[in-house]
Amino acid sequence: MANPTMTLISSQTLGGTTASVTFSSIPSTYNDLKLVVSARGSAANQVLGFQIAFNGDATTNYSYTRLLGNSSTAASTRVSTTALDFGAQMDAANATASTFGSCEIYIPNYTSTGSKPFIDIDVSEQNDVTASNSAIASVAHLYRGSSGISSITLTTPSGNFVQYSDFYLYGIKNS
Amino acid sequence: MATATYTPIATQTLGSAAASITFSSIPGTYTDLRLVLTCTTSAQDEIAIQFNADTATHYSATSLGGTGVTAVSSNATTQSNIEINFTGATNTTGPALFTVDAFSYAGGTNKTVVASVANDGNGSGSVELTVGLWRSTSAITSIKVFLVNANNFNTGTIATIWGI
Repeated sequence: MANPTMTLISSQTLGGTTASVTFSSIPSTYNDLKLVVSARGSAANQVLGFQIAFNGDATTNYSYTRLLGNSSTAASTRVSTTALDFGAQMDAANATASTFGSCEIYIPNYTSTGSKPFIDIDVSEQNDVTASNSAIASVAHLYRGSSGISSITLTTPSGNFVQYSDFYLYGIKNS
Repeated sequence: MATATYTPIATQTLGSAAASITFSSIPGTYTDLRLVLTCTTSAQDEIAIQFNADTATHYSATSLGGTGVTAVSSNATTQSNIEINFTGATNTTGPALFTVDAFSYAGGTNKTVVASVANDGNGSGSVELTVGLWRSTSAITSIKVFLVNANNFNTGTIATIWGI
């Protein structure tokens, strides 16, 4: 029987605030990556997207298509040829106190030198009757970088990730 | 300490184009199954799955998708397969990601699956979630993944199934 192959590569639980979190020196010995995030931003927003970048690549190699339900409407939007992949999101300072957004990002075949599709599902539930203050989203991302992924950086567009935000990166093998 | 999970059952990387990918002899020793497919196809098409070679109309599905412009939902009942990309067709050049989670697959009740699609084409494409039902009380022992309109998965397509 094959062995279980989901392995924690690294985790970070913030002891204070920080504007970005980086997983570097990601080994190439897995097939897929799973990144699990529980985070809250300090900026004065209800819900706030955070940026995903690979290998320090700040060029326009990113695009994403989002499906969003915000307790009021369901909608879909797209961003193409961008350096700023803000597809994933979290709770922010205007959200109900002590609530954190949850996000799971799955990146298959991350060592590929071709384009890399990946998906995230993120949720922000705030027990808030105001329409659009809570959100659930699924986002199809595409990273057109030509190198395997060796680092992942998550960055807030304004403010910081707050204390107790958690970030877990897992490697998954297929054999 | 909890038992580790994500045990690989099988993986297939296509060395040549293929009309379908089948995982057979799936052991009943896990709780759930997870299938991950990264592919391009020879022509735009829809991806579907069947269990245990059952081609009868025992399947249904409801989807929620985004086109980048609008959110759409649709369903199909009494089908011969579960289609997992109602909202947008497969891509012929850039790879797309498809996942299928089958819950309690070895149990004696009807089987529910959740599928996701990440098919962004940098200016086109779709994102989608689908819930599927296979009205069978048999344990899932094989899964066939195929294209509804008889096109091919291209060389380099990767499909893996894990036991959870």
